[in-house]
Amino acid sequence: MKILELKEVSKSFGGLMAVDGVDLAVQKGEMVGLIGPNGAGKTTLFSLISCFLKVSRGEICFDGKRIEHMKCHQLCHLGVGRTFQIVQPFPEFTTLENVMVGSFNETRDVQEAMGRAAEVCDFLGIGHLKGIKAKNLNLADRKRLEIARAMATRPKMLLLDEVMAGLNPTESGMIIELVKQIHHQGVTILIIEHVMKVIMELSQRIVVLNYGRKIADGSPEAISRNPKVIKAYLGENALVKS
Amino acid sequence: MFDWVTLLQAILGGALNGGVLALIAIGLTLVFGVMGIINFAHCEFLMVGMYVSYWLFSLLGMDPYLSVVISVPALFVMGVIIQRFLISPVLGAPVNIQVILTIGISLLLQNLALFLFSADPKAINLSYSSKLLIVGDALFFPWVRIYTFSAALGLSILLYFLLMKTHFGRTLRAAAENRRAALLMGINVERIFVLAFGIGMACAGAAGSLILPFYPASPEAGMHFIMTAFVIVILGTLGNFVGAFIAGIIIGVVQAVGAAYLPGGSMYEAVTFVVFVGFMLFRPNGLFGRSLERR
Amino acid sequence: MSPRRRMQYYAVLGVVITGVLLCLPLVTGPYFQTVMISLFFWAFVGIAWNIMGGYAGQISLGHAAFLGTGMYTSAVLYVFWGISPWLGILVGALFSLGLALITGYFSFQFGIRGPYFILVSLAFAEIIRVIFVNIPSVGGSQGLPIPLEEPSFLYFQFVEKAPFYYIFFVLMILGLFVNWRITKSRLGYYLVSIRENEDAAATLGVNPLKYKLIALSISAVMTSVGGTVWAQYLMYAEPSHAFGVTMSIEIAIRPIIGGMGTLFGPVIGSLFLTPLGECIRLFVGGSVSGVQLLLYGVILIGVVVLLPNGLVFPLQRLLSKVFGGKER
Repeated sequence: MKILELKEVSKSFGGLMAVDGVDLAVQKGEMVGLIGPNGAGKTTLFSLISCFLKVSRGEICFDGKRIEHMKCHQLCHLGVGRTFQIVQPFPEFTTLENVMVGSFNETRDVQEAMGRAAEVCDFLGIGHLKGIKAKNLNLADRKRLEIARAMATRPKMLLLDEVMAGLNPTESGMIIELVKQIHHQGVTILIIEHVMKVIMELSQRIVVLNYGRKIADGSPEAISRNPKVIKAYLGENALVKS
Repeated sequence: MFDWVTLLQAILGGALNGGVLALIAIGLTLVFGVMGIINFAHCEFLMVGMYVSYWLFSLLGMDPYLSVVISVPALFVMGVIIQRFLISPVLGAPVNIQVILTIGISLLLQNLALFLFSADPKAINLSYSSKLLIVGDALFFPWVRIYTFSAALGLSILLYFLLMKTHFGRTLRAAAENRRAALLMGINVERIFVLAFGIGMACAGAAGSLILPFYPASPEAGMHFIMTAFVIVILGTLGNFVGAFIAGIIIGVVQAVGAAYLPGGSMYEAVTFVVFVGFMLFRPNGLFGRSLERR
Repeated sequence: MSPRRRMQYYAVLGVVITGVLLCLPLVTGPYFQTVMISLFFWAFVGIAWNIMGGYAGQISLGHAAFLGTGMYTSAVLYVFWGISPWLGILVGALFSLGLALITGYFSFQFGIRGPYFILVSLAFAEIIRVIFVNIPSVGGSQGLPIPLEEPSFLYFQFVEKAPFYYIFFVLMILGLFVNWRITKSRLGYYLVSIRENEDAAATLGVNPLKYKLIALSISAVMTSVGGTVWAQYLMYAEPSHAFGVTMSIEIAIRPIIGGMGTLFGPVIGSLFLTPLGECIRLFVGGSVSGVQLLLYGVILIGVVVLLPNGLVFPLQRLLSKVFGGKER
């Protein structure tokens, strides 16, 4: 069954069409990658799905409900979680407290939230950092914190926006494993990534955007051979490894 | 039969006032555009400028318009000192902290003036203070307001050329648009900040000197303008120089029309407040959309 | 030192201090009590402000509006209709709540934040002040005196200072308690998350509008209650005192320099500033207003540049050398 459906979604800023008539359907439990050259509209699309921007035209349905006009917190209650390209921790809170804010989505009780948050921290491999203030964490740990926080809200769908950015191969590898495990738990995942290796490895299906339009939608193998996609990346051949 | 005269008087008179309001706002928007700081103490520097010119007039008989030549550099230097020692340390801190600092500076300046000069408003009387320009036997404009408008316009144009046509202006705008890139290009961003703040304060100080002919100096003079200044800055879009000027004229007109047609003495402040709230609610990007705003 | 021992030490310390404070009025004169009353009062309204400004991170310079509402409501009810200030507290709190909800809704719904919220709150309090100055029936700019009749607990009338000492002390303790309960609840975490990163908090299910309104409401009601009792203590309600910008600054400055977002910050701020204010009053007398605010300006600047997190933290470090440190 479809968990997310975009119909003719468009977003314009003044005269610029950042997203142009995009149709997209994501099945429950899928892992879908979203790629495209810089400025193709990927993050804009995420922002449209996750409440930060309002669509100029089109519909977005999540779990059967129309969500284009909903506020962020309402989307969270429905089961949409997201991480940010530039991490947004709560600097003065400790790692545990950061994740607790997410856990409170499920419970009012402080002790219970603390317990659940601790579990999520352990799962994401940051359990040893529970008492450290977020502002003192390095980037890789902050990325994991970002994911942990979103996971604490028990989302049905998770939007990951360039989680690998700024990480070295070892760190990326660990995140890839985590994402796979999260996926195994049944969470639908939509992931934006520039690192092709990662996207190819993780995604069951890939959607390609260029100049705000969807130009391809299929399996990783099909996408890597799609002439339109190759053309869009012309001049960036180095990124397309099969 | 509609009273065109009153309306025309209000509009034109308001536009004249708007000139100096614009100058105040330009200083404020410049500081915000370049440094990202919202300076609550901005209009206190206006007050300082007023007192500088007042004492120059009282003690040396210097005409306030002439004293701009003194108050501009004086306020510039003052701005530089304050920037280097007080503002610089908190540039990386959360916005709340920066705001508290400028509030502290505002309190300091206001009450220092109160302590030194007492609360009595100090007005000056020039030989030509009461001369009027009479148009068509129906419209009356005090010449001092026309002079003030011209001077404010002149300074604004000067500043415009400084920002747009000189190398310094270009580096300033570069630093405003993208601090990090400017640093990488070898621009001494710290020095830019100091100079920008100095210029901003100099604008406020100059405005103070320019309004002295018709506005008495008092410790709370600054407080009377701060709200208006912020409204203009937001209306003209944060960080937008030309926008601030145009918005200044507009607000000047709005206030004058409001004063002419609404009952009560300080209702024009209410009008300003309503405009402010209105824009904050519905169009926080001001009239001119694009700006040098940084998040 | 283990956390358990630390808690025990603090508990004993707290009991001892409280005991001493409770006994002081028996051995001290009215002047000392006056200073302590001020200290407790400003600490209390500072705690109320801190919930909004320190924990939720929404600095307001308009809290005088709530204080003044509390002052005037009960004063008017008592002077004109003989209604007991105990009831006046409730009515004043209700009015303040309404005020908070209305202005809060319009501000937060439309994204007025940070410095803009400060401006809006300032302007708002000013407007209310102008309104009250222009209502002659409640005394206009002269204010409304509350006549002293016979001492009565029912009507909040006391000849001596001592009862007010205890009332304000209890108020301060209650304020601390409310604040403490908030920090130990989901509300507390949500408020701080809004302060730290409102957008991120929203994606985690926190409704910024709702929680900011809750914070403002609690803050406003507490401030209002303080105002009512303060009016009864002063036996006077006057617009420039009740609603002025100066009042808003007085309310906000103690938590700011004491430590925003900390439990004891407002108390420490009050501990520091109130005696200082008294000294100024003693030595300068005449232009007290100017000098005191001047000093406030200097202190604010000093604190921001040197101790941005307030006085609490150096003090904490001192205490931690002895005991082992206390958290937020």
